[in-house]
Amino acid sequence: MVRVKRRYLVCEVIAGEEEDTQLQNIKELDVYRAVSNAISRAHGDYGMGLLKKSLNVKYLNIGTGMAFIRVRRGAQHLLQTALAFVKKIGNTNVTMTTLHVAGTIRSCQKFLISFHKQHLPDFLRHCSTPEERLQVQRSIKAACEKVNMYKHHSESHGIEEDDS
Amino acid sequence: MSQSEVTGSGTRKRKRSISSDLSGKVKRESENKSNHDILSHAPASVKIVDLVENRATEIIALTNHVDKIGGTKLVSQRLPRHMRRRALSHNIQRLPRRLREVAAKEIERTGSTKRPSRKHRRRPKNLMSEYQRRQRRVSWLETHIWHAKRFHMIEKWGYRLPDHPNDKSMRACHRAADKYCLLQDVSYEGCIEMTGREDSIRLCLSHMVSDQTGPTLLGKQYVKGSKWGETVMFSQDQYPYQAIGRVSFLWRPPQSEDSTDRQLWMWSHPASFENIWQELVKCVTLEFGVSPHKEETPLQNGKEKTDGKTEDCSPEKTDLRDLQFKAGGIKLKSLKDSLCRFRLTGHTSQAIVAKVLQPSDVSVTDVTGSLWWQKFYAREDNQSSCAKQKLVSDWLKRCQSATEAPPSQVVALTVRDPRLLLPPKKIKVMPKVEVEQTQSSPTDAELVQTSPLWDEAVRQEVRSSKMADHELNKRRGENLVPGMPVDLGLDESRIPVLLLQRPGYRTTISASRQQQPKSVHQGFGCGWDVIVPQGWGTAFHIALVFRGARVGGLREATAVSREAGTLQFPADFPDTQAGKEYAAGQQDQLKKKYDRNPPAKRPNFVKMGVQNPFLCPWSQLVDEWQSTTAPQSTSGQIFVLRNLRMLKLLNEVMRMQRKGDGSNLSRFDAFPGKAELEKLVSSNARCLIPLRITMHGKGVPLKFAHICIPKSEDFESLNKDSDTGGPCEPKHPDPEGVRRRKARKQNKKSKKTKTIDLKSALATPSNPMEAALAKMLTHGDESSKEDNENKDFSPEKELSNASSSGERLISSTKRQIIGFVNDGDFSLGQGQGHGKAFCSLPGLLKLMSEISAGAPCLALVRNTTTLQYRFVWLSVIM
Repeated sequence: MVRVKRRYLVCEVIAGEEEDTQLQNIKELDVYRAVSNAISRAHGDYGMGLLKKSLNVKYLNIGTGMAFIRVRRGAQHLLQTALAFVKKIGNTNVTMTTLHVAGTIRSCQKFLISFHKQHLPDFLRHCSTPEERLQVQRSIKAACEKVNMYKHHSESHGIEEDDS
Repeated sequence: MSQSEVTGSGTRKRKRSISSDLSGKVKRESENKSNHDILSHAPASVKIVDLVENRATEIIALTNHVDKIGGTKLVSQRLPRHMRRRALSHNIQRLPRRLREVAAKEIERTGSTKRPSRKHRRRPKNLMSEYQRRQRRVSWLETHIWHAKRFHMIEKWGYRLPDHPNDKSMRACHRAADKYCLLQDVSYEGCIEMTGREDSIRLCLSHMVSDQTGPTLLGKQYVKGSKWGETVMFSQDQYPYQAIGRVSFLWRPPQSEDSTDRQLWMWSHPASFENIWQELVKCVTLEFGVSPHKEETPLQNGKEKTDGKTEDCSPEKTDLRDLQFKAGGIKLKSLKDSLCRFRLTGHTSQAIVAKVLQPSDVSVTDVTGSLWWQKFYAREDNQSSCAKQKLVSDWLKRCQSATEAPPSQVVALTVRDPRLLLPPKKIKVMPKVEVEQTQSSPTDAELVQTSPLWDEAVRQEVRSSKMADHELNKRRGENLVPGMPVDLGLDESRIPVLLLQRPGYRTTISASRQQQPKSVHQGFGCGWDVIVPQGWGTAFHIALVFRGARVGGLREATAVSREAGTLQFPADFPDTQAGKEYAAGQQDQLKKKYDRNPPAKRPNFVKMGVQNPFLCPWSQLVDEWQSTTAPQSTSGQIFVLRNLRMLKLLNEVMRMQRKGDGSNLSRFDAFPGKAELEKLVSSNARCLIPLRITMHGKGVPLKFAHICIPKSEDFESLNKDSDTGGPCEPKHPDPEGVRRRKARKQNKKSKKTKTIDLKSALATPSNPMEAALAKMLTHGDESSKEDNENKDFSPEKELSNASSSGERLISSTKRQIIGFVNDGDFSLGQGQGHGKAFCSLPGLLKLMSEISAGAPCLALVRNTTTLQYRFVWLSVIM
């Protein structure tokens, strides 16, 4: 058996400025509709024909605005270009950018972990009050403990996942 | 993450560039907005803490996810194929070292589920520990293993008891009980020992028994100790109300003429054992004024400890085996499970008992011997009994049937080890036919010697000195000629046993029997009860079985008691606590069974006009009949009439014959003792009369059947044609039925439409799958709700509605209900249906006053599942 090969895009959904930076009440389905509309506008029936079947939003975190969007392999460029035309999800003004293209959800997750890990320390610079600083430090610590565990595990186990 | 902490700290920031700096991306401002005031379109504020926390949460969640490689798979399954080894599930060393720790945890978590091999399980030590484990919750009889291989076992009254044999055996068991020998292990009946001065024992027990129920355990014939008896015990001074249960009792014969210290054994059914014990304690306390809680301490016997049975019992649950109580010179002691009792029924039981119980040689030559029997029989007063033993056993062998022995006779014997006397193969012992009536039967004094069984020390020694089976077999193996009897000499155990004769069915009235059909024949249910000390149960049981006794369980015991027309505890004691519990359990069971069937495959009791198909509503019956005689209804407890004189009086009314007397007087009016009877009714309106019922023609009465008063036209049709089937009850309306049918139809329809809905929902292209799924789910919810609503139409609800609707029970059918059948079946002995029933006293007398004196004493019975009434004969159980 040959499995169906796909590409997963790690996207960031950024809310428009007047929306108070919150993406409330947005579901996977809303993102899906917005993206499929954008595709049909940008690439017409041809694009829809290529992507419709495999297009899916596999993950969405409203808090961080991260989403995984699935397409079939080879057509990911169509999606990437179409994403630039997504202006609205539901009633929220947004822009979407691609952060990473991966072959599995698992590697998307891995990417996201390392991405956040890389950028978390920058927040410390922008803290103004000491309480704030303490809070931020604490949550970074909590997260990185987990990260370390992950690192330790993944290095020591070295188990290859099936679909990578 | 708690947002409130953050907002409280007041860390609102006005820094629009933050997000772009942080995540390396540009937060573009909308181009179409005015360029002059960029800041006005910037986000009002950014909560840094929130941002960080969101990201931190995501990291943790994702890490958890990523860590789980292979999902729920085991470590060995997660390995890449080229690293897998065949034996790694057994040998952890085959795994890569870095995974061993995880794998070890996994193995520890799952534990070893493999069942040990049969060989391992059957090793004596393991087998015994397994048996101990299984006895923790319920006790076992000593013969449990024997029974468990051959019987359906059920849990009842804290025991695991044999219910019925696995082979087809109803008829065979009846035949055995009738002509041969039916054996039942009734060791579950618990014994209570009472010791003390005779007058103080009398004083205590007089609160719990009544002379009116016939000779009680204070009767003269019993106190001597040559007879045993049965009596019903009541709560302290509550007679006739609050019966507790039936006990069979036996007095120890007085050791010497002038001694006043006596010993009394009372056997009680386990369903009422605890209540009887408590009541006895209460009575003793009342007489001697001692607080019961101080002295009633469960004392651990050394014997019990070695047994290991009591080890696992929880402390808060008092062990009924260890109960002891002492007050005012009276000592109560529970002998539960320290005596085994076997019940042999049938005429051959005499021959079997005589064969199994061979008297042992207890003549003492060495007076200084240390064995218990040497010590016991060396005493002067016991020496004579050695010689008597032989005499008694000869007499036992001579008897043809158990009925030849004096009724309720007690025989004490000390017998040989039954294992040594086993025939090589199972045989059938039959009584000898030769008749030699030259020798006279032994006198009471010869039969009743004091048995060593009464002595606890002796019982313990008999038990501990029992030679183990394997040792016995070894001795057998050492025999030069295989199969020859083994002579153990002084090593052979001497076992004291008691034999109690049961007289079986006896009728005192025979003159007026022509009217009634052939009834139970004389002497049915006769036999012997054998009492052996603890530890010897299996040996005697197997010895009895090897002589041709057929073994029955609880079902067979019920059948025998039904056939003999005697009351059985606890099923036929509706006024006792145990009887009520029994009825409730039975109702539960039957209701569950009824509910398992679909409506089309079970009777509709509403249409049958049966309000209580699984229960006899005694108190309701009594209440309603009482209110017919006396308008001022005084509610109270019900009781079963046990006053022997009253029962005899009632029996006379039923058996009274007056042929050729053309007067239209009813039975009741024509009865000479009418005045006395009327007095009886007025004082005992709340009582039930136990009745034996026999079908007049066709039909079998079953449990919960109604007993009704026939109308005059029923008698007319019976006179015209004696084979008439009997009248029919018209079908009762079932108002709920229509509604139920409608609801069912609607349900069917809605189910159809539902499927269509689902299809259309799936067909619409705009609807993504999830929406359809959600719809499906909501539909599912609705349908389940509807189902629940429909279930509410179940017949039990209707039944309860019907019974609570205020409709009177006794007049709910065309013919007035006077009682219910408690137990009924086809009688193999009589060849027709028979059973036991209870009737309300006012109801029964109304029946008597409606039957004319010349007419036969017949009532109508109707089963719960039919509309057909049948005629039955009634007679009082005394």
